[in-house]
Formats: sequence, C-alpha cells, structure tokens
Amino acid sequence: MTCEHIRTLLAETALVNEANAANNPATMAEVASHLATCADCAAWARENERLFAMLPMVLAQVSEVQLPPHLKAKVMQSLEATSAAQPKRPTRGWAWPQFNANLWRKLGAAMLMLMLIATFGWALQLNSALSQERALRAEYANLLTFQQEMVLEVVDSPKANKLFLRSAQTDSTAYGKVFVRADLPHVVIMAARLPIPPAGLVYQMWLMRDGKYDMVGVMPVNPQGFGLIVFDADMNGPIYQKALLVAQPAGTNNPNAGTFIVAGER
Amino acid sequence: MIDSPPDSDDALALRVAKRDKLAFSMLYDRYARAVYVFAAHLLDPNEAEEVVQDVFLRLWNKAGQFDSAKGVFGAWLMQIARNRVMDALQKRNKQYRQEVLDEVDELLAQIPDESNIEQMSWERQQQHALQLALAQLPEDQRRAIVLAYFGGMSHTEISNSLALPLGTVKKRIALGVSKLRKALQHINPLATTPEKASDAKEKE
Repeated sequence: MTCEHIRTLLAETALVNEANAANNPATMAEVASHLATCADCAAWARENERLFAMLPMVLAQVSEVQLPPHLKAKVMQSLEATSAAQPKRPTRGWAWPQFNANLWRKLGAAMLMLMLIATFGWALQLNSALSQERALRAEYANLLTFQQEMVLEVVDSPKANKLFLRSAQTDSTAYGKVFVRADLPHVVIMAARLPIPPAGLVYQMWLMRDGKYDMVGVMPVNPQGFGLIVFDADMNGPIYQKALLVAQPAGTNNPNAGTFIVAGER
Repeated sequence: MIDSPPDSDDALALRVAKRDKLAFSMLYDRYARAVYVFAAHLLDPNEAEEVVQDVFLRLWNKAGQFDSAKGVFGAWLMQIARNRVMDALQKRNKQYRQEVLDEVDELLAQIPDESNIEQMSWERQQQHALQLALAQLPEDQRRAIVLAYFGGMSHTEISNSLALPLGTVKKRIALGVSKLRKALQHINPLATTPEKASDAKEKE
C-alpha cells in the first residue's frame, strides 16, 4: 500500500469507532503495519486523532450545557473509594503522619474494619462455644444419672457462669466447661472427646479459687470420651480463676505433676 | 529531548499515574466539561454524570497506560469518553439517536463569534478554527462526520441512514476530514505533516 492509499483509508476509517473498525481486521492490520514503519503517516494519523479529540471540545464551546458543580466532589470521592480498596504501595522508611482529614478518615475506616473482623471472630467463637455446649448437654442427657436434675438447674440456667476448658494437647480436640450458678452451691464440670486415661492414671479435676488450687474430684470417662463431675462448693456461686483436668496417679496432690488434658482460665 | 511543561497534559497524566490528586484535579478541570457536554447531548444529564465519573475513574486507574509517544493526552482521554458514550448510545433506539444527532449537527453548524480571537489561547484558537471549519463544511460532509464521530455509526449504517451509496459516504467523510485538517494547519502549520498532492487536488 502507498502512503496515499493509507491516508485515504485513515481518513475513511478514522471516525469509525473501534467496534466497527474491528469488523475489518485485515485492513486495520495492514494500516497498523504501515504506520509502524512510516513516520510521516504515523504523524498524519496522530494529527487526525488530535483533530477528532477536539470535536467534543468544539461541541462544548457551542453548547449551553454546563458541568454540574457537585460532580467534581463526587468524582473525587470515588477516587477515595478506589484508593482505599487498592493495596498501599510500600514506602521507604516511616515518618510521622501529617494531620489531614483523609488520613483520619482512612484510620477510621481501618478501625471499623478491625472491629468488624473482631466482631466476626467473636461471633464465630461464640457460635462454636454454643454448639459445643449443646453437644455436652446432649451427651449428658444420655447419662440420665441421679444428678440430672441438679445439673440441669445449673447448666440450663440463664444465671449460669461458665469457664471454658480447651484442650491442652495439640493433637486433641477435647474440651469442656465449668458451670456455676450465683444463687446455688452446685458446680458442674463437663468434658467431651476425652481420651481414655493411660493405665495407672486418672483424670483429676483441679479448680483455683483465690489463688489456691483444690482437687475437686476424679472425672470418670465413658467409652465416648464424655466425663462429668458434680459437687457442692462451700458457698453459692464460687468464682474459679483456673481449671485443670490432669492425667496423674490417683491421690496426687500437685496439679502440675501430670499431663494437662484440658485447661481454662478466666 | 524536550521536557513537557509542568502543567502540560502529558506531565499531569504522568503525575496522575503516581496518584497525584492535584494533577488529577487539574485534568478534570480541563476536560470534564467537554466529556459531560458530549455525553449530555447524546444521552441524558444523569447518564452524563455517570460517564464523567467512569471516564475520570478510568483516568485515575489507567493513567499509566497513556503513552505520549503514541499521541496526545486529550485524544486518549476523549477516545475513552467516546467509547463509553457510544456503548450507551447503542442501547437507545434509532429514532432517539437520529434526534440527538440532528441537534449536535445544528449546534456545529453555528458560525462562531469572531471577536477576541487574538486574546484566545493557542488551544482555544484551534478549537475556534475547527468550529468555524465545521460550520463552513458543506452540510452533507458535516452530517456524515457527525453521524460517524458522534453517532458511532459505520459507513454502511451512514449509507443506509442517508440513503447514499457507500462510496459517496466514504468520500464525504474523507473530504470533510481533509478540510478540518487544513483549518488546523492554518493555525499551526508546524504541527501538521505536509499534505500530499492528492489532498490539494480534492474538490468539494
């Protein structure tokens, strides 16, 4: 193709939008190939583009339509939203942040995000705790022991105070809870998914009150790994700071002399 | 190599690519009205606001893609605006498109005021020259250019719309564009490349 032919094509096709131009890819490819090697025609094409870009400017000159004054603020706000959604570029070193409204808005947004994450995490934890508690109750319902009525009075009461027990072993999913009620001396301790105690050892339950541990009983474990201890404290609604279920020889009087199975701390 | 002036479009676009809001604001002030008017005449005021937001958000996010070696900033930005407006315009029916394009054609047919040309900036003088050239174009050539640029119509669509042979449509557009180029060349002869002999032979 000659330069003349190319310029005729450019003049004919320059005003056709991209979608229409794409309908004739062979011609467009030929034009592009020529422009890549012919500086004069490339400059000619750029001049055309500049001319066409001026057409809306000319329309703006003759039009009485005015740009809404509020629009700039909207556009700038959308930039803020975009910037907030994009990851920050790494900075070299650190400097005291200057006081400006944007910074504090960003900090506020970050705090809000952290609070939402914390709330979400807390809700997940609460949900998990509630489901575990339901599982413990279901286990207990199967036992139907003489202690059932006492246990339900404490466990099912809205006044119940709970201390959560988590597995102290990385390879175990054992868990449990210590329930007390402010207006009753009954203390109910439940645990589930417990491994069967090794030969020669039992699970002794230790509770700390006023900084002092007491061994409150040996927790029997059924074949499903469920254990229960119910006893009456010397006062209504005792508050225990810590609770330990320890695998140790029966009669051991030291909570630290053994393997912690589940543990909780207020 | 000559550096661009600090407030040139190219320099500002470079700063926008580095997330400079002041530079963005300056480019907005230069081009937002043209984008808005373009969209408002072809669509409606509400959609025109959306177009302005979309176009300038794209500028904010894609300024790094602008290459001054390949063309001027205004052409790059207006191409973004035109693509956005054409997409929306294609969804309107044929009668609507005819009506809005008639209005644009009428506006561009107005002879501009000749006073105070000497006080105008070079850019404004160029726009004035282009406005005058558009107004002085034969009606059929201006109409073909308006349908193609502002209507986003293909040559075949223009041919059908004006009930003219395809070759005639192409010739009208080519002649019209050539005249507009000459009008700008008159304002700034150094900015344009020499026209070929074929251009000089063009007749209306």
